[in-house]
Formats: sequence, C-alpha cells, structure tokens
Amino acid sequence: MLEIRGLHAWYGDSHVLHGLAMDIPRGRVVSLLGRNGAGKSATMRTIMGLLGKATGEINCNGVNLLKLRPDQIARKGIALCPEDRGIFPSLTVTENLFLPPVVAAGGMDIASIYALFPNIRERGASRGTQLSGGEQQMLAIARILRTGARLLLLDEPTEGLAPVIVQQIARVIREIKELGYTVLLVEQKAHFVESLADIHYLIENGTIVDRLESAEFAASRDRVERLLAV
Amino acid sequence: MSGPDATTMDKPAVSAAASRPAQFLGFTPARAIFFLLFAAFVVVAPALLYPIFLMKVYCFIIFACAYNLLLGYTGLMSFGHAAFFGMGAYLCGYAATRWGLPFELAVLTGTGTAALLGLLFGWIAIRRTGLYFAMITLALAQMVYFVALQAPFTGGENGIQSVPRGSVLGIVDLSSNTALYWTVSIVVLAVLALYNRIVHSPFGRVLRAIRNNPERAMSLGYDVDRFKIAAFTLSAALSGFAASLKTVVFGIATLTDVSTVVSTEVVLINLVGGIGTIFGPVVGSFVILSLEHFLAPYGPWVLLLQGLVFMLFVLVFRQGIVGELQKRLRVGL
Amino acid sequence: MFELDLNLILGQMVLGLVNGVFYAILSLGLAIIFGLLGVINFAHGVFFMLGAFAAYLLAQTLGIGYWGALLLAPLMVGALGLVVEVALIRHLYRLDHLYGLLLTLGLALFVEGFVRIVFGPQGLPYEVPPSLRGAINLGFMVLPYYRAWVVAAGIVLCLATWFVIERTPLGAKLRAATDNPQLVQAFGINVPVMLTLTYAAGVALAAVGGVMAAPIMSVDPAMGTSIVIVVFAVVVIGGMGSILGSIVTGLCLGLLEGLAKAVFPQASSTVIFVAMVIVLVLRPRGLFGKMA
Repeated sequence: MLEIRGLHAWYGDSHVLHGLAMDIPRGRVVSLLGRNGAGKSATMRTIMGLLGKATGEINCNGVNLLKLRPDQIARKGIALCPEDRGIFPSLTVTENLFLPPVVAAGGMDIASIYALFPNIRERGASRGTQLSGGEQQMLAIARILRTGARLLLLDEPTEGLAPVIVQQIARVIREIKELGYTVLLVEQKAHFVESLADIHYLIENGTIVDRLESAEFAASRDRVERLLAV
Repeated sequence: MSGPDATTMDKPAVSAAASRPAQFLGFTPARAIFFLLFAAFVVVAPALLYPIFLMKVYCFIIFACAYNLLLGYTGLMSFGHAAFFGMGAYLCGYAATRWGLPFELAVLTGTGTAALLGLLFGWIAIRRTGLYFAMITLALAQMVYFVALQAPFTGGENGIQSVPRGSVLGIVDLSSNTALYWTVSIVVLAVLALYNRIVHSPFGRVLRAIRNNPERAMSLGYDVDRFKIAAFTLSAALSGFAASLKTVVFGIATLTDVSTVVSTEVVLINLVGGIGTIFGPVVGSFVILSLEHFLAPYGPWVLLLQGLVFMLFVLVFRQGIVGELQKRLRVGL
Repeated sequence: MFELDLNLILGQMVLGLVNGVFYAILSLGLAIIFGLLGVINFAHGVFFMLGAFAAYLLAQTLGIGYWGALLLAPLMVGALGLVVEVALIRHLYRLDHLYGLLLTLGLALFVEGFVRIVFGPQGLPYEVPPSLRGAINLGFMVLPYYRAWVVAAGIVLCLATWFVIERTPLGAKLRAATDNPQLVQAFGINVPVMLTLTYAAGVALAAVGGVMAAPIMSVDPAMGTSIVIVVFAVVVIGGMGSILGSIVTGLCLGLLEGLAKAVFPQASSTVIFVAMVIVLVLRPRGLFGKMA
C-alpha cells in the first residue's frame, strides 16, 4: 500500500528523518515503535504532507506522495488520527464526526460507527472538547472510518488513557483490521502493539533500526524495551 | 512587530549585533558615515531644493523617527499617530498665537500636550496587543479628529493660521527662511543622533527585547507594560515636537494634521525607508514627500500611488530601502 | 436645556439602528475573514464603498435597478475579492499578521484613489427603489419604508450568516478550519481554496451593505474609510470570538449613536470611541472576547 524509501524530512532547520525506509502492506497493521523524538510523529506528518520540507519517496499506487498537497494525499485514501487527537473545539461531537469529507466509497456506515462507539451518539450535541480523553480518542478514530480511507495513521492512540480505555481501543483496532483496513500504528508501548501488529518497525534518531515480524517480536522483546527505555 | 514569525524584521538587528563594531554614542563607523553624509546633504541642499520643502521633510524625519522607535524597536504598530501630531500642531499654534508664547515655549507646549495624550492613549491601548492595538490606536485618533473638528480652539475647518515664527531665545530671528532653515537643520540632526542614541541605549535594548519576545522580557523581570507605555509616550512627545516645528515653519495647524492621512503617511514612510533602521525615516521621508510633492497637482493620484507603494513594499521589499541596503552592505544602518 | 423629548429619542434610536445594521454586517465580515485568514481586512470599507458604486454603475450603464444590484453587485465585488486574495493576500499568510493589515491598508488607499480618479470626489445620488418609497407614521416618528427595510433585511442577513456558520456543515468546515487549518486540509479539504472563497464571501457581504447604504448615504469614495474605522471600534468592543457577539455589538452601538444624537448631538460622532475606551478599561478582552 505504501513504500517509503530514502525519506529525509526537516522541521524548520532541524533534520528529523534521515533516510527512513519502510513498507506498509495492504490489509496489515504495522507498528512504528520508538522513543519520544525518534521521528514517529514526523513520519506520520510527512506521509500526510504536513511537514515543511521532505525529500525521498513515499510510493502509494505508483504516485510519490511527497509531490502532493495534504488534501490530495487524503483523497488517495489516507487518513490521520493525530497525536493530540485534533478534536475541533468549535464543533459539536456530531459535526466533528461528519467533518472529514468522504474520499472513497466503502467507508463504514454511520450505524456501524455508532454501534462501535455508542458514546459518540449519546454525546452528539456536546462540544467536541467537552468529551473525556478516551471519548475524544474514540471520536478521532471514528471520524476517519467514515471517509472510505483505507490506510489509517494512528498516532499514539493510547497516550494518557486509562487501562480500560486502552483495551477498548485495542478492540477497535482489531475490528478495523478484520474489516480489511491498513493501519500504521505509532506507539511507545511495546505490550500494546505486540498482539495487534503484524509487522513492527523500530525507529531511532529518524531512521529505521529494525524490522520484526510478529512471530519474532516476543523473542526480541528485551531489545525493544531497551530501545524504548528513556 | 512581535511574535515568532516576525523574523524578517528581526534579522537586521541580529546581524548588526553579531558583528559588534566599535560604537560611540550608538554610532558605529557605518552609521557615522551615513550621518555625516546626511549632514553634508543638509548643508548643500538649500542650493538645490526649496528650503520650505526641505524643512517639511526634516519635520517628517523627526516624526518618522518617533514612529519607528515604536514600530521598529518596540514592535507596537500604531495607526493613530495623527492624534499626537495634530494635537501637537494645534497646541503649539494656539500657544504662539493666542497666548503669545515665544517659539521655545510654544514648541514645548505642543510637545508636552502630545506627550500627555500619548501617556493616556498608551495606557488604554496596551491592554490589547498586535492587530487589536493597531485598531485601538486608529479609533482613538479618529475620536481626537472629531473633537478637533468640533472644539472651538482648533478653528474648525480653517485651523489656526498666521502662527508667528518668533525667534530662538530672542537672539536668532526666525522670520527669514534662511535662519529658520538652519535652525530646523540643526534640530533634525540632533534628533537623529538622539534617536540613534536611544535605540542603542540600555532602554532601547529592553524595548527590542520586548519586541522580539515579550514573555521572555517579562521573565527577565522587566515591567513590559511600563516600558511599552514609556516608549509610546516618548514617541508621542517626539511626534508632537515634529508637528510643533512644522507649525512654526508653515505658520498653520489644520484638520489635515490630525487626520488619518497623517497616520498612514508615517507608516508608509517607515515601511519604504526601513522599519527598525536608524536611517529609514530619513530615506522614507524624502521618497514619500517628494512623491507627494510632485503628484500634488494630480489630486487623487497621490492616494492611488501611495496605495501601490504600500502593497509593493509589503509584498516585495518588506525591509524597506535602508533594510535592503544594510543587507547588501552587511552593516547595521 | 436638557429637556428630553421621548419621541426624538425613539426616532433617533430607530435611525441609529440603520447604522447599527451596517456596523453589524461589516464587523461580521471582518470577524469571519480574521478568524480564518488571520488578516484584519482594512480594505473592508472600500469593498462596502465598491458595492454602492457597483449599484450606481449598474443603474447608469445597464439600467439595472436596486433589486438586481442587490444580487449582482455582491457577485462583482466578491469576484474582485477572489482576485485580491489570490494575487495579494495569500502571499502573507506565513508572515506577521500586521503585514496583512498594512497590505489591505495599501489596497484601500489604492481603490479609493482609483474611484476618486474615475468618479470624482463628490457624492453621487442613488434612488430609493420605487417599491420602497413613502413612509409610515409610527406615532413618535415618520419612518421611511426604505429605512425600515434596511433594518429588517440587514438583521435577517446577519442572522442568516450566523445560521450558515453555526448550524450547517459548510459552517462547520469554516469553524474547523479556523481552529486547525492543517488538520482540515489533511482530511482532504482544499483549505487554500476555502480561504479564497471565505475572503470573497466576506467582502461580498460588505458589498451587500454598500448597496443597501447607497440610497441612504450618498455614494462617495470616502464612505468606506470613515465607516471602517468605526467598525474597528465595534470589533474592539465586541471582540472577534463570537459571530452573534459581532451582530449584537454592531446593532447596540448603532442604537447608542442614535441615543447620543438625540441627547447630546455634539458627542454623536465620538460616542462609539468613548464606549470603546470604557470597555477597554473595564473589560480589556471585549464584551464577547474569548479569554486568551
């Protein structure tokens, strides 16, 4: 679905990605594990076209995404659930849910979304930012399921959430996977992605340092934890 | 201008500080050379150009220095300097004609009035920053305009006319254009040197720190609001001083002096000359006033061209003429 | 000497409401443009003026009357707004917002100068449409139908604008882009085009006001500049955080101005500025301003 080769990116003057390369195959859940500042969010933002300057190649069905604007990238069926969740404070929950335009056919219908996230229906008329952190995270995921995007970029969806909510999110990601979505899951918690992801990439200082199939992950667990330790 | 994205405006100051050449009263060798060049021009100019026009330019240089101190070095954009200019002009004219005060005291009256008004407006306007600050100053000045339109002492549409020139300390009779020219010339050179001195004084450094990063200046223990009010008052006083001189030169103070036209003119002069430069007011005043002088017979074309120049400099030459020059020459001017 | 004539006061307040409608329409457009583009549109007044001149021109050259102008003039001015945003304003989004103010000030001077060169400085007459001639006696005053229409239509226009922004999917996009333009674009919405259209819509709204003002104020090149300064004061008083706040503030200040005309006419031109000072001293963020 996505092949990234020789990706360099800059945040203003600082060089944050150094020749990053990874593959995100269709229908798989791929995790990207690394410490704070390793370049995880920068990778996400570069895929989405939101980082100022980038060179290299992000190939999506024969098109280099680096040549496109963010809205054109979204129209390729890629959707972002940002680290800060990006709930719009001036919009109600329902308005937040319906804001992202449909970019392709085959998005999840609204009944299934409400079935998956019952709270969103109940709190539809509240302002988006009046929701709890967990509810906001659910909303941020729910609204990109509607659009027909097939590649979902989830940036640390469990950050700062209670364990019971984290389990709910894991369940949601499993369901998404069942439905054939492709997911890039950025995380700092190895135990969270262990059972979810098919492929694990480890990132450090803006470059991929290892790639593990899910079968290899348990054996390498110590090394992963060392990499993630602060 | 404040805020992290105001980098274009901060660069000249940074590069000038980085090289740190020897200074005397704020004069680096480069600035001293430019100052002497301007002084030499002042000496030969009356042989080439109308002295009245030159004196008008010199008065506007003082006014523009006052404004640049605020916009260029404190980061406060005022659209209301006509209030200080106009009221300075009126009070100087009123003091000289109705009270019969001598030249020095009339100018002092104009300057003092503008300073008080500046203190009051500064106190009100600093409650908001950035774009709001600009809108507030514009609105306050419009209020002053309407007051001037209705109050009896301004002479309404006629203004205050036949303001006597008087003499300097009772010695130098200013009724001749020559004597007046040399007096105004000495004053403008002195003000330019003073302006340079203020900008490069410890006070000026605090103002620039506030411009670049108000939060940081506050965390360093500076009472940011007080410095802003002080800069605003100083700028208003100097504007009133410029207006008083202008009133003595032309012998009139009118509604034009207090109108929005004057507020936009002084912004334009500094934009063209170079915001946050020492010699920007000099160059800008010459360019803009010459333009207006030659276009004056064509009425509204002045407005059209001013608008074009505004847009051109905002879009293409944000650093102004002197700003571009110091980039080329790699010196702070 | 202060014998308060209630009829006079009521009458002046109704007339003040007419001005209030214009303040509301203009401050509404300013607030929408500022929210999304981060630019204080100093040229807002000249677009108001151009609306009036467009109506005048349509009548003179094509014989198109008031009702046609009410539709066509905003479209013409809106189209000009598109050009202005694409050619000029969009180059400044990455810079300090004060540059946007300077640029639009330059634009305002340019347009006003241009209109003066073409039409001369004096005011031009524009007729009240035949269907709205005449007046109604309200007991305390004789109210021309046209002014009643301006108040009613203006308030409806403001409320319709409020409804579009606060209650429709289109408005939700606008609010979302005001909150976080990057993310909105990452969802597949072409934000640059949205900025252009928003600017055009904002100035078209000003042009509607201009057409409505044409039969009341004389159509002259300076009509925009004088009103925009008052509208700035209105915006400072109301704060730009709330659409409904802009509308209410605009209308109330019109009323206040009318009241001043009846009670203390000399202060009528300054009363809004005095109100601004009082609000700044007591509530620096403005009446409806969001806390920073």
